[in-house]
Amino acid sequence: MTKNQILLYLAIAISGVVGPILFPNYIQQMAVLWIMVLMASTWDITGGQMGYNSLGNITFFGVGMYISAVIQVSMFYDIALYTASYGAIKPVFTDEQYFSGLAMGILAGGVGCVVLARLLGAVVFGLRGPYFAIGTLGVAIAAGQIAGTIDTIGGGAGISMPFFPWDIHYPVDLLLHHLFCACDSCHISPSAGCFQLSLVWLQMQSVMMKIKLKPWVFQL
Amino acid sequence: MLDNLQLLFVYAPVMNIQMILDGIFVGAVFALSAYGLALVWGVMNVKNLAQGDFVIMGGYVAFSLYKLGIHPVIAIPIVAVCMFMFGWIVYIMIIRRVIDNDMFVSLLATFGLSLLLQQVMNLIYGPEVQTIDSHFPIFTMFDDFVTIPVVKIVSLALAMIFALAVVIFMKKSRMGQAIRATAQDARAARVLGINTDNVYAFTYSLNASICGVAGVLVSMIWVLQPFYGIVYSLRTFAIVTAAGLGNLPAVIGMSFALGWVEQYAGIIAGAEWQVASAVFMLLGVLMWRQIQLRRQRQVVR
Repeated sequence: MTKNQILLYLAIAISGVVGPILFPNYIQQMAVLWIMVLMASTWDITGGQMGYNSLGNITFFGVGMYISAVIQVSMFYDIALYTASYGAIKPVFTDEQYFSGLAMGILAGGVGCVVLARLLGAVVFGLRGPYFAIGTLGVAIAAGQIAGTIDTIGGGAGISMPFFPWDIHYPVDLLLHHLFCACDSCHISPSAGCFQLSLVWLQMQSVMMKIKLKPWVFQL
Repeated sequence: MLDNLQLLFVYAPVMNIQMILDGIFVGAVFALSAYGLALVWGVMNVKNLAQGDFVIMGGYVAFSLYKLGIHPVIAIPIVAVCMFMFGWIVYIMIIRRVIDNDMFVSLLATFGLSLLLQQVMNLIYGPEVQTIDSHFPIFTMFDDFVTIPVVKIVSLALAMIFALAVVIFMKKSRMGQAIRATAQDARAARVLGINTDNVYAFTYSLNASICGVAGVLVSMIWVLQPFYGIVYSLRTFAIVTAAGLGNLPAVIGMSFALGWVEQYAGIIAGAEWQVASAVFMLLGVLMWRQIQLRRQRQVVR
């Protein structure tokens, strides 16, 4: 890494930290921007370094999001009752409940996606080239359709997430708000979403691919 | 689920006739767009992911004409011409630049085009589900167990007529010959004086036009929504990968099969599973193809 690159990364990091303080009206957009950075890097891992052009990374985005949302809510409330009220009744989450739920949810989302990726990988890695791209796109759309049929997680109406418990007037809270923006104010529904640890999944998956490919490589 | 199975096979087996007929009616629409995809894929090696959005777009053009008081059946030639011109513009603006590239570039470019079209249609027509009432009567048979709207029969007939016209065009006309020649060997065709760029543009526009006609039929017998297009794309991909390129009878057969699978999945597992079943069929077909290929794949040990 050259000096210029380090400076560049430093500038990006600082802009990420200072940006929401300087432009508080655009916090939502900036949070989405960082999520998109993450999604783009997942594409870099699958399409660029792994050589599998996947149009279905969004599957894991959605699955991770649902897993984390369900974990976060169901740690303290009955998930079926919570979703049945369609967000009309807002159960109160204390700070402790909110953050422990969020941490567990993010963790479970990452782990769940890894497990799902292992299972799905057994099916879709049989495909090559454009068929892989179309197959994974199909998986993503099917996942959305199926998520819409499960009433426990809200069906077609989705899950409304609990509100972020703190005020957002102070810079520190602002930063936290920036970090949690995605999980906090987004209304989760099968077709639109926010991020979870799909990156973790993809890194794990690429590691697995290397392990899987090893005997093959030696044969060559 | 078990109740639905019981209903279908024990209490009212006559409902199966309804399923099979409906499968044929929707399958005819799938067959049109699948034939268009097979054409583009075979001739240009472009995998057109915007296929379904062309279908929906054709439907919306017919919807606009319907608002102006033009009956959808009369609107079919107008839509075909409009979509033909639109296809030509898309070819000049996008497809020509990606046609010689890696095949994945065409997939990505058309995927982007599909997203763009979805959003534009969403802006113009809004996200509501629309349909065209074409004022045809509805028949019922077997004590009202089987209903056959005349509009579906009309759409089936129109699909057959249009498909026949396209096939005759491909066999007899000069341009059809040129398209087939280019599909066989583009370089040789160029050497022999065929303007392949023109042929490609014509093929893509013809595909858009076929999709547009399929879209009019969709708007008559089904519903339009800006974001339903991608599902049609997946269905056409499932059909074409299963049937193979340039195999028209297989394309038609697979379309009907997909129609039946969707109908039965819809009644047995619930309406939401219709689309999912199409996707699972696509995956199943792809896996099956891969297993077939694996038999022939040779690895140096």
